[in-house]
Amino acid sequence: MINDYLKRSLFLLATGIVMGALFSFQAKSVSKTNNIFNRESKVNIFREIQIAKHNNQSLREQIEVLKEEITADNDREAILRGITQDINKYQMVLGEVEIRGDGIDITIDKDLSIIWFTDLINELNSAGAEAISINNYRLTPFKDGFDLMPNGQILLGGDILSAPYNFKVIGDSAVLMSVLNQVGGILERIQSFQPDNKITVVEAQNLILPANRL
Amino acid sequence: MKKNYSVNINALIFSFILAGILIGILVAAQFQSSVVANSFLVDELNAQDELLESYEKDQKELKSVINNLKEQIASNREQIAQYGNQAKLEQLEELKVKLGLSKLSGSGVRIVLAESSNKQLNSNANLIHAADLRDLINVLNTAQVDGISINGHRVIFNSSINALGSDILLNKIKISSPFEINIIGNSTMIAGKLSERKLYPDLFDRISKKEINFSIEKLANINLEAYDGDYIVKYLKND
Repeated sequence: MINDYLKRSLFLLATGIVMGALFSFQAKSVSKTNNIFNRESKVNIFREIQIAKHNNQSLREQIEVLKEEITADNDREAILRGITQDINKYQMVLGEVEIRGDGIDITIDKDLSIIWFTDLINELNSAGAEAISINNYRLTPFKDGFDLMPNGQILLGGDILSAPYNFKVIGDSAVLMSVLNQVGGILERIQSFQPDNKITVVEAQNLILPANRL
Repeated sequence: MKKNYSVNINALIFSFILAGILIGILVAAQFQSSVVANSFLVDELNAQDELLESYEKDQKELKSVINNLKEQIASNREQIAQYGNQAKLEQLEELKVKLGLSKLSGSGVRIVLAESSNKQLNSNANLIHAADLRDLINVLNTAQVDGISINGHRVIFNSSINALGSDILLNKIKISSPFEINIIGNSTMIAGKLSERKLYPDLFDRISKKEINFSIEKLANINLEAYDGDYIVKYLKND
């Protein structure tokens, strides 16, 4: 009788251990599910320090350029050249002219929801992207939101955006690659959410981005 | 006596089960635990925060210098406009307006987003995240707006909005709740797009459930400051 009692007790103990382990695994899986929907990149403090430092360096370089322009203010021709250079620069940024440059090429094989586009563009901007096109559509100020049609298709600039998606990004390719490929970064999060979606990122030279479609 | 024995047995069985569950949780947690790769002392974290703050302070000062230099250059250029280059100056100004590099005034709407005082168990839903602001900016872009600012900071088309702990960085500048978002554009179109849940379902639902405070008002005159930076162009070419 004591043996029966002991066996039953041990059985109950073992059952309890198994139940506890299962509860713990379930709690962990819920946590992992929540992490998949986390829309922010990790290791922010280091990245932000790096970007702040890089940003300040760019501002100092800009100050030097502006100072040179001012010292030439007695030279009318220099002022006119400065205006022309600025017009040229802003026309490139605004997408009024076709542009080219080195950067990266991203291809995403299957459909994405709007939030992934928004987050990916944000990451590229954070990493200093100077110009971006998606499926040969050049992104431009404010007129380019990712809209959703009633049938679920994504609309960009009046055109339907269909997979595969090809992003052409002009900028510092090393910085762009580093930001996109960081642990917990946007591409890793997209991949973990859609494991069967093939994503390729390569450095590219002399990318050509079209002017805005009028 | 027999009854007491039975009660004691049940109590013992319950104890065994409870002990087993607790042991199971501890064992499973032990297997799944991992040493945090980067364990930082509080001092080191504070040092990093201070470093970031010093960079932010430097950034403000550098931007102030840039703005002063730009004003000086603009003044010089206006002086030469009298020599027949007004057309070029006007072309430049038009481009700057489109890019957010000039002040902008017009009619539009003001949105205020704030964390709800009605704190719930799920406090994460009450917080306004960087992703919420990004989604909202995207919705406004579908409404073809002319200009946006958040807490006085101009949003340009390649602005970045990121989370840094509990803070939000807009163009590398910290902003915090409540978020006053001024938008110049067609207010009817803006309101129409904001009513489309499918464009930003998570934020829309949290607003509907009053987990976040959201207010919107139509205004006849909104003034947006110019973006206090410039577009860095090192890699673009068009020749």
